[in-house]
Amino acid sequence: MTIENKTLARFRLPFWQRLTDWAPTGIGIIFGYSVLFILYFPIVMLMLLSFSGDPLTGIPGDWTITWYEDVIFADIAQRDGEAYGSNFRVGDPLLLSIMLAFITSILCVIAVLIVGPVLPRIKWRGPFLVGFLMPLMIPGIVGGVGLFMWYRLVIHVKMGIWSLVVAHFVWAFPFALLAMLVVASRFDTRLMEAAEDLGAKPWQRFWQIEMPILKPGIYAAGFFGFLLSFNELPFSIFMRAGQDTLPLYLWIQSGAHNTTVPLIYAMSTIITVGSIGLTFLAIKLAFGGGQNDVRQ
Amino acid sequence: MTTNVYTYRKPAGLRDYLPRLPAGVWSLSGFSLLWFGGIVLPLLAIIVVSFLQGRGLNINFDPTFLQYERFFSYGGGEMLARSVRIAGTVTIVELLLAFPFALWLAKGCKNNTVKLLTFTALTVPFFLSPAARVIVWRSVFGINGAVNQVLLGTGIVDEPVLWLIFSEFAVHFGFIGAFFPTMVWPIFLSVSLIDNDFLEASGDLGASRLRTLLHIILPLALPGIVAGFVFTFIPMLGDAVVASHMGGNNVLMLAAQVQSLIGVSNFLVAAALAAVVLAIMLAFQVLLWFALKPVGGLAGVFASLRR
Amino acid sequence: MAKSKKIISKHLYYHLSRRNFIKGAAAGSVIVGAPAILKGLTRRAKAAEKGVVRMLFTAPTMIPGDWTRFEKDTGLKMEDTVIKDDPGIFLTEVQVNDAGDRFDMISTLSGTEQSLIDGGNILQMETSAMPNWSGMPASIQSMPYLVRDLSPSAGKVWGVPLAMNADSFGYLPKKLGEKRPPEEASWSLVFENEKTMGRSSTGDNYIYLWEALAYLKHTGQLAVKDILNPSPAEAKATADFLIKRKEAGQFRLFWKIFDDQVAVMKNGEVDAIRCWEPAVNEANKAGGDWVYATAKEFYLKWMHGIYITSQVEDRGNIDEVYTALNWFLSGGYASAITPLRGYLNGRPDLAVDYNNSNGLEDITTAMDAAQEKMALKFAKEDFWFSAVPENLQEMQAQMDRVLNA
Repeated sequence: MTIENKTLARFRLPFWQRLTDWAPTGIGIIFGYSVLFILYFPIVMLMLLSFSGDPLTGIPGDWTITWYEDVIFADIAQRDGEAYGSNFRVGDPLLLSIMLAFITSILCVIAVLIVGPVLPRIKWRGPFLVGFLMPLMIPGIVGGVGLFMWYRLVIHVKMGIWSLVVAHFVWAFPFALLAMLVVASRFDTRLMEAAEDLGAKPWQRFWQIEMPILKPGIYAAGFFGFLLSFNELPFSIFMRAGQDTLPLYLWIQSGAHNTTVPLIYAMSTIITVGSIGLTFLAIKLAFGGGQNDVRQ
Repeated sequence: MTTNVYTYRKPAGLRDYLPRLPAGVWSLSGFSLLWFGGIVLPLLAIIVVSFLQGRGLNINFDPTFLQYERFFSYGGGEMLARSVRIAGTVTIVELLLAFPFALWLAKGCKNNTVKLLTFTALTVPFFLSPAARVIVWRSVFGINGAVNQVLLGTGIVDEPVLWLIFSEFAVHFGFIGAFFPTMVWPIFLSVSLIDNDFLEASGDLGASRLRTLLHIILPLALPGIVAGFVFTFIPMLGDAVVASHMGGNNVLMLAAQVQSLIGVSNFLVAAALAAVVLAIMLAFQVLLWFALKPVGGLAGVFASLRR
Repeated sequence: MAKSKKIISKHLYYHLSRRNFIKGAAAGSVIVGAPAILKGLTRRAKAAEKGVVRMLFTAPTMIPGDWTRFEKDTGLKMEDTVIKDDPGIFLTEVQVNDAGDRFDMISTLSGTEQSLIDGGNILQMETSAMPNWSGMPASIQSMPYLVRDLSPSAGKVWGVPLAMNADSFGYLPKKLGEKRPPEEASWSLVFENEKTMGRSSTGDNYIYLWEALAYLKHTGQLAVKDILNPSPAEAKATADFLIKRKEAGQFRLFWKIFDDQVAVMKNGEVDAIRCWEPAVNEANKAGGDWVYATAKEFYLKWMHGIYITSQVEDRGNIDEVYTALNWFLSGGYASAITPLRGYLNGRPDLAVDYNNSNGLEDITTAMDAAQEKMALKFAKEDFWFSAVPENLQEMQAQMDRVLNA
């Protein structure tokens, strides 16, 4: 049946039935964008407040760019040689966070490619799955302390960037795996058999059949790996040893006896604007404009 | 190289369960070895630690239930019940809000630009510090905030409403916005994988939309729903920011409690707490397993959907 | 045999294609991560340089904006790092993560030094190597809780003061009908007062339980044996008191950070709040009427101390470290930190001369005001805050009970 015919058929239905037909769509749109409004109201407000003279009152106004100067120029930290109140040096932590997020993302993709397609097909998948999802069941900071105690006190290795990578991977991998399993569990192994029967070489089977089908899962894994790593704090607290990621840095700064909120607002605005463009591009590349190409 | 590997079968063994992906077995075994040895073992060691005594990181091997007694005598039980209740309630609300939206995004929305923009909107908040995402609500819901101004101005109330902030209501509200994307994403992913032909066939066979939803979409979207539940519930339990900023610490939740224990080197009680949380999570898994038994348990949800 | 070999090779082939992909991804991650790794390496290399001292802070506020004065006065370069001031996190960083390998000096809230001494993490000091030490007022040299380890009279000096202050609370005198400082105001405004019912606030950790305990002691509601080391029973009694007050609706919130304090002060959520002194200035910037109380009962006096890490002995840069320590006891640090934050270092008396001889602005008024205020505060009965009291875990647990109620 073509779309046209179906649409016509629908219009022949009584009004109330057409209404129930459209209601789910309406509910979806209303729910979704209402919550997005709740989500974005504070973000838009903080963008306005980041240009305001007195952000802590929550009322925009008295426009200024002084907080941006403080965030961007804090590294230089000198105004005519005077002692200058802001020590908000966010550049290095931001860079480290981005790097860690990239590494975590790629590690997650590799790991879910190893685990994802095989796990739904083995007999003892239950215990395996519980083991892989283990970090989700322990509060992050305790998990961090647990790993820290094990590696530092039992095995006697020193913490460093490597341990931060481990911490972020441990946190992000279960989520990446779940995202991959959503896709991989529906992967039809008969396709591989068919391809083989038709004489496809192993690499052909991998690239031309497995990869395209698993692609949404791979993107999702990389995606969640990146995002979860970028804001990871609890595991990092004990796995850091001298390295500051952005969330760690903000957490430490929150102990200051001077106000950091205006600076956090300004920095968040910069990050929001920057990430909008990058995210838009990444999603366009990954999801091909939202069309899934997983038709089997 | 013309021999077909798959015609050869070992008499019995692991490969029988893995008829198609022999290389995958090796990678999986290797990775599992690293993961279970390097991550799961240390995490399980926390449970052992929770039965020991000591101060700070000087721990004696002297088994005891002391840490559990301490934990519960400090109001730990109430705190856990409260955390699970709040996170659970919000997760269910998120599910009800996110499912129709994800469905529409995956199947209903035909405009690619709208889709792209919505995806972007769902992703960008991940980049912001959790504090930045909720702090503004304090001044909106505060005693002199916009909401109270409107309520007073329109004469709906005579006195400012105090429970809008530093209360459980505020904590619930703070979570709703912040954890919406994590629920939408996995459900969207699973729904978008459902073949349109299925839905059309269902419609052509005379099934109502509700029937199609219940009998086609819901079962096929189940992995996404389960994943969405995990993606939302778990990080929410681990969130220390909303309860502190929106609840004003009048509403103590799990993550803040753990930070406070660790902050004073109370690793042993923290370990006891972790063990209790682990037990609760495993209990949830058992519940989930029974609930999903018709489709073969949690792992079965994923596995059974192979076509 | 031949057959199985073939199978293996085929498996391998299949495996390799997957692996190639993985390899590419791994290579990509190295390329992406390389700048970060390189940066880490160069930073480490730089840290070993001569003429650079490295110091760990637990409060961003202690850093005097920039180090130009330090560099000019000492000829050294300073590399500062800040971590969280929770004692558990600080002690782990020093004792388990070997902070001494990366830092020449560590600073944190006083009260921590006994743990550092017991752990062999810090070095005993030669006060003679710091010319500014001897000029310190006796009152600072012999601080009650430092006597055991820091005072010269005990023969052992393990640390020097970085900065100190005495905390009370903020309130709105006009609204509450209370007198303004320097007239005294009672802590009851925070803990138990009908006027501030539902409109007062205090912090969320053991420090603020401790203050409530001091309040109970001073108002005769609780017999406290040693205010510097509350017993578990005393902590529990205090928690019971706070829970009763919480249930009566006394507290609007228990704040966590500085910005919480300022926000509720500015937004009119509270009329009396246990806060840090700079919060009052911040809240008044928008025309508030906040004052910082001259406390009737007690002050919470605190100090950040600086300690030399044991590893300095092997690195052989002890002279540079003493030069740096002496600077923190000089007018250079005093003239930077006091006008900026209102804290005092060991030698506030040198600040005015320092600025005058360096052609900087005259800060006589600011310094005099700060010192006068401090003299007033320090005259109150001693309540020196220690970051690690004996029953620290018990006190925090009791505070958690209050929050859980």
